[in-house]
Amino acid sequence: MSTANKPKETSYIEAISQALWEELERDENVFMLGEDIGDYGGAFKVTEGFLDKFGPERIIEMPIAEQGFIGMAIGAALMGMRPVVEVQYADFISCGWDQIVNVAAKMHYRTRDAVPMVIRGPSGGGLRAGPFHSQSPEGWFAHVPGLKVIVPGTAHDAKGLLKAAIRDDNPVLYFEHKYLYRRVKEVLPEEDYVCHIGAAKVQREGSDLTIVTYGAMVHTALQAAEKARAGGVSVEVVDLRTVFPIDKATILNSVAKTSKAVMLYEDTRTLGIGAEVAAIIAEEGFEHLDGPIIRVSAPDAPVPFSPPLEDYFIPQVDDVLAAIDRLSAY
Amino acid sequence: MTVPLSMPRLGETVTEGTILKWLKREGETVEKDENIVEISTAKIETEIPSPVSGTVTKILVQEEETVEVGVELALIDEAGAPPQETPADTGITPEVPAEKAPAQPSAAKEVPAAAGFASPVVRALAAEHDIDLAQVQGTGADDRITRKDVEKHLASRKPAAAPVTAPTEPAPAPEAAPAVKTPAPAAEVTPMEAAGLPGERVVTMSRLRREIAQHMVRSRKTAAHVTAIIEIDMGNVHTQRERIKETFKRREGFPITYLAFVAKATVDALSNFPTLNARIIDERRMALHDYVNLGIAVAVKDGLIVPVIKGAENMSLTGLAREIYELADKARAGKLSIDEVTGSTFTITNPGSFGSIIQTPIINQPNVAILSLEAIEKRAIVIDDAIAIRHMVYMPLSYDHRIVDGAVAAQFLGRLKYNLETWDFTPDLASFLE
Repeated sequence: MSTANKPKETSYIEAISQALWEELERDENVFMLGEDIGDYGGAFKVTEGFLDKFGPERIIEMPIAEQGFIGMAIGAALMGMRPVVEVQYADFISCGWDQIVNVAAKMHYRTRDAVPMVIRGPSGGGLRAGPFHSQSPEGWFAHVPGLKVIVPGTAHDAKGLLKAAIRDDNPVLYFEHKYLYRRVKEVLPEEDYVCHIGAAKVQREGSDLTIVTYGAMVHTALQAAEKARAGGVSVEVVDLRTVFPIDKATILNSVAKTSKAVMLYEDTRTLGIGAEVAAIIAEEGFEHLDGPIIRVSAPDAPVPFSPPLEDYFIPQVDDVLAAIDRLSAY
Repeated sequence: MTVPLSMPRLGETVTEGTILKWLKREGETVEKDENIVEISTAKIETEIPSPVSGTVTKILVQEEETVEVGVELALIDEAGAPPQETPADTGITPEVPAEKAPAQPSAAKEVPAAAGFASPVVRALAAEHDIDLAQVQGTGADDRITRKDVEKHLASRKPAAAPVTAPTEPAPAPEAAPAVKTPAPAAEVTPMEAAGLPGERVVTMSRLRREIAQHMVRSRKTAAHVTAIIEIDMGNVHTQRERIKETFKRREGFPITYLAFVAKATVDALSNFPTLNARIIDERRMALHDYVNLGIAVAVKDGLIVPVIKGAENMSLTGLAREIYELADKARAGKLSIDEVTGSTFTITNPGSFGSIIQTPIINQPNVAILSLEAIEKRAIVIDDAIAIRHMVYMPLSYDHRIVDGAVAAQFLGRLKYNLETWDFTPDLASFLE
């Protein structure tokens, strides 16, 4: 097949750029704020070419002042705009904690005024970027009522969910996994499409064991599932896609089918998303269980800088296989 | 389990309280949060609600007594709570579906903590399809029955797997007959597996067997076992039984056994030695009972079960004989209910029916003693310095030396001997005299 006929694959980061571009084109109320997103085109080049196309009033450069510009975005959203805030590394979002948690998340509850805002940023480790350039902050925010939290694992979902987030009238946190930026790619639909926020997706069907996961770990899970198949174990991989609100139905259906569940998440173990999913299964899927619910996650530690330590920290395919073996043998 | 009601602290500086009035008596039931006692302290008078629903088993502090905060005022036997120790009696029949609580279902462990653990989905499937898990081969860790095992069993099971209704032979009482086969629906024989060592045949133990094994070991580890043995002249009983046994069998439809006489004599002896009819709650407390729930060990296929005669102290000789017969029958048919195999306060076992003359039985937890009725044989003994031939029997009593001392055990046996050797059972048996 010649290159001309081969459908073009879009990488995860390109999918994000496309989503932003298309929404900026579609709705004039959409605008972006962030550090280095103008001339520089963004630290990871997500917004390369955006300034030329959309101008400085829609691609607004900000100083290092997350609390300030997140607060600005909330104000703009209250006035009817649809801001998309970029935090250069998702770790820096903690500077804007108060604005997100006490203002954005609770505004509609208090006043019935909507805050249609998206905050997006690259999260996750694997790039030797150290403790405050590698975190997975979704757990912090999934715990705050009033926010939606998305962590896409594929290029397709990255585009569809970002569009859905921008069109959503709620404050949405969108954590794109930097490790996946240029490592995953697939052919995307030509036409405009959105993914449903709050719907998980079965990325691989199986019958013996369920792995519930999200983000970069989706790919770790898929690799482990493929290897497990050689050992005769059929693994189903459920990609949460949205970590809050959680798609209980898909999770519970899968556990009803397999009776064995593993949570795989790159975040630190205690009180991570996987812990919540385990609780849901234990409470609402108890009768379906044929084995303990196992969490595979990073340990409760800052993300190491040293490469061998970071590899130890981040769950690897072998860690997932160990959990699969343990549950299969139970 | 037993829950204590303690004197509450009704104020920061309050250190003691006085019982004004008990609103519930011993033996009465009480609901959670229902007022159970009125107390008075330096600051206030008030009613105290019960912490649990159940039965008041013991009032420890009387009206008008003053005790310090924290002192236990009464004991409440919580209704509906699982038995204090893990499976109290070994009395789980092969037919009862696997809904009994496993020993320690810890999700953190690699393998199921206790053999016989049924995971939630396995239990659900077993209940839904009326599967006897004792019939299912487990292939999981530690022979755990997995969901797949149940599904495989389901697929291979004959469609008409209804619970047993086939009538059993009216089985004679335990002492006379060998164990009758339990007619299970698809009575599978576990196939012999080839084993590693030459000449060995590996047999997978049934669930009943495994539970008996665990219970026995646990009982030995829990109680301080001592066995006292007495020799009893059963001539008195023999004579009286001989006189009426044919008529009894004809009229009642089942035989009256030596065991029935022994049971009657035992119940009386227990009323005089209540510590043999007790239960040890913990290191500090034992529970005495106003009733005798008499466990009778019955041999069944691949094991034994102890059905319980509730309230034996109120039964006549005929009543006891009937209960023994019916429970043994149900035991061998696998039809005992949970109620019928729990709650014993004392147990009698009867290996004599198979020819044993002395055994040292293991106490049936949570009892503190077990009496063994051995084979009654004619022996030459000495009476008044002459040799006589009498129907003699050894009756070993294994007891828990934590709360029963040798003297008490010996006296209990002495009382039992006295009863059996001297009692006139005519009042009980008059109607059978022709």
